[in-house]
Amino acid sequence: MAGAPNKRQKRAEYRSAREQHGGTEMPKKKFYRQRAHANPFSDHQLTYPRTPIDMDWSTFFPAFVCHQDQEPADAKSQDSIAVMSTKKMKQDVEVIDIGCGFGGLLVALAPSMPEKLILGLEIRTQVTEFVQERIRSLRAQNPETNVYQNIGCLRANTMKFLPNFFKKSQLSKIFICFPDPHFKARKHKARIVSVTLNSEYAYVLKPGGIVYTITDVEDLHEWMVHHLEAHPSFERIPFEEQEADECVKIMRTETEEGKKVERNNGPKFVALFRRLEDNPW
Amino acid sequence: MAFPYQCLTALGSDGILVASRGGGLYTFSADGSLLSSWQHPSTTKSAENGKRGLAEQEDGAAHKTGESGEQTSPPSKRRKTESESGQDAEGKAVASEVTEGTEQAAEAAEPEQDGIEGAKSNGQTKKGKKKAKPTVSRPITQEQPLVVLVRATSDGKHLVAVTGQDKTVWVFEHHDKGQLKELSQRQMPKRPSDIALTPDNTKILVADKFGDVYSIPLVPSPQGSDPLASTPLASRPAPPRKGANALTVHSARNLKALEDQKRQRENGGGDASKKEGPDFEHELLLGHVSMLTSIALASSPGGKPYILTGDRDEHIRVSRGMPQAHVIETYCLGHTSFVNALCLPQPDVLVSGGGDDELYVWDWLAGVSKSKVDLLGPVQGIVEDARKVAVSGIYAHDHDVVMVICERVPAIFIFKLSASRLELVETLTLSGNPLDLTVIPTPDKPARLVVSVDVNQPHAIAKSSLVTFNKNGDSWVPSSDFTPNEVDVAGGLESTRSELDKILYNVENLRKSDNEEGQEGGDAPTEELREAGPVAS
Repeated sequence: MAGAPNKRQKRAEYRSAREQHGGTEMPKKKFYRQRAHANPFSDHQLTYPRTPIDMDWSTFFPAFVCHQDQEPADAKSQDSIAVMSTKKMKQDVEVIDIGCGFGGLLVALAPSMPEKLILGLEIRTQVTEFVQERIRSLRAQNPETNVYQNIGCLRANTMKFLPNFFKKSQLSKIFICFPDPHFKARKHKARIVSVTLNSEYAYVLKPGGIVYTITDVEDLHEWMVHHLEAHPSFERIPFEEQEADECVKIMRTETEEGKKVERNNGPKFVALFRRLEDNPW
Repeated sequence: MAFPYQCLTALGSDGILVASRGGGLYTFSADGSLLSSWQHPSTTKSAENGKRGLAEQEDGAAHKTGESGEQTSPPSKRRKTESESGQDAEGKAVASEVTEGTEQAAEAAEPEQDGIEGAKSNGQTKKGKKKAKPTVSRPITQEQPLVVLVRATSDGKHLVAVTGQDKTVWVFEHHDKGQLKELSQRQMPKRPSDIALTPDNTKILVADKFGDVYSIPLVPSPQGSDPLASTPLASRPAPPRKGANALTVHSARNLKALEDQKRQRENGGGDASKKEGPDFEHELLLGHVSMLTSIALASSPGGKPYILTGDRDEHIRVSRGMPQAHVIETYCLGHTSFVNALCLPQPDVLVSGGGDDELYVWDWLAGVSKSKVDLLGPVQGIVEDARKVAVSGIYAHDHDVVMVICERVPAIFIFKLSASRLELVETLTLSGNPLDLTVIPTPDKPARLVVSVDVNQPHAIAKSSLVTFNKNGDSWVPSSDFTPNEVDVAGGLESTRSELDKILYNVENLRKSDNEEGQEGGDAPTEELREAGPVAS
């Protein structure tokens, strides 16, 4: 593997130093950079729950854990161990940012949707760690307000394991911001929006839920529009409604990629899609 | 070493058995006599070239041992020299005799390249076609198009077979008495891993190694209707290719690459002419980002169809049937290793198995696990030092009998299903590893269970490769009243033990290895994208 030993060592030192100092200081990106492309088809060493019920969210959103005394008695899962270790949450995650990168959108969304749990999903370990550290420092820096308690980040390959984390119709918003364009035709199946993957987004989204997409690659924009519009479960949201959406503004300006494109005076293409009710069956 | 029968299915209700062996299909009557046979064009061709009679001719010259023994090594050598000048993938190509030099024929000879490459490889294939003269391919190797799946329609009028290496789905019309007439051959974009036939016997659903499920008509409509018209989900990506531009790439190297691309586009016209997808009627129904291993069709109590798909990443997905296959109804989650076999003994009960030590029983429509039953214990009863299980097949009989075979375990485990629970009631031990099995309905007689067995003895005669049991009350007793006269078809079906292992046993390869942390970011995406996992069958 790449990465000179002294680089790795510096990273390790930096991390252990952070652990000791409690980390109210924001993490430095340079210790967490990682190649911008990950292969979604390979078996990364991923941890994921077998089912959404088995997922323990308490470490991600400690402020939203139910108190022990009101734990309901009905155990849904067959595995008693899973139930015991999974603390009951006050509410479910409702907003996800697929490929959250360094977490700019998460941090910006947190105050705008204080009552919703927002989760960033990122396939790169280092980057995920950075966002987790970032959230930890933000929480530590704002002890009196609860402002960053509603965001979390975990490492996952959403193309494979989305249904392991989320139940049917659990989510109300999915953000897909500046995804890997995968220019080569041969790699189009690796794109995060594809006809077949859209069925999975439709599965986890509740009817009326929204998929937000933004990219600076026009070709990819057209691809995403084409594939989401072609999917019977989605319709494109009209321009006026799109521009009135608070999240669109945040998405344009607050993601790291968004800022980079801004600096280079690049274009940004936005498209929103609403999850429709399924036809009767 | 004789190549064993690999896939089995009952055809119609007259007790006809279809068995595949290498690149050939053979039908047998209830008393075991050979009714007809079919050979993959490439094997036929090579047989001709090999200066020997067609192996499958009824009175064929079946003096297999001597000659084929001599030929064991030369062909592979020759293939190697051929491949030296070409791409390695082409070298593997075994020209299929198919139709007159059409594009499709060229593609049929193209193994792992897997359809989605650009214009560049079109040129390559053409070259490859000229080069890849039919090779003498006596000893069966995994590069040859071997029949890996065989299914009969419920009315017994058609038979569907899949040859793995060339990704082709073959459909045969079944006239009475086991005569097969080849109707069509269609090459899928990716290697099929499982197929299912709709209950009305009009469509074949093909699940592939790339995670997609296509629907193709059993019998293609006579005049070539526009293949693209009927693909609502597949949606032809029409927009002109723009790709990256100077505003999206910034580094000096990327900008240079962009320049190069632009120049190339101006010169050569680019890949605009590249056609996506096969040129026959097909419809992309759904897809996983994972290798699909199994597909089953089910219907709800209200009669609505559903599609069940199992993948290498532990998922069983329950999608609505056509025309709403884009709607995922639920998932049956709980497996901790790959899923490899799905079976519905009763309309509302799904039994699944794969790399886990247990079989799972599901209320599939609700996505709820009903029970599990241990399989490792029974397996250890046969193979003492077994530490894991790789289920290779689950079969249902009479709504409450579930038969299970596991890779490299010479036994059939027979479970009784009652109230969504499985109970092991009988273990049939075999002389070799079971590869496939089927229960043949025989009029007026007890049902007959036929198993294809890989007898691991160097000089095993082909005869013992099909084993039969007759149902006797609730148990199954070995029988000898079905002895296929296979001497006629055995000619030339030779292979080596190591080749056989590669061809016949690849379920265990689906298991994920434990130590893959090394490939963080530094992995080789293209390789894995191409095959999306280990190569199987």
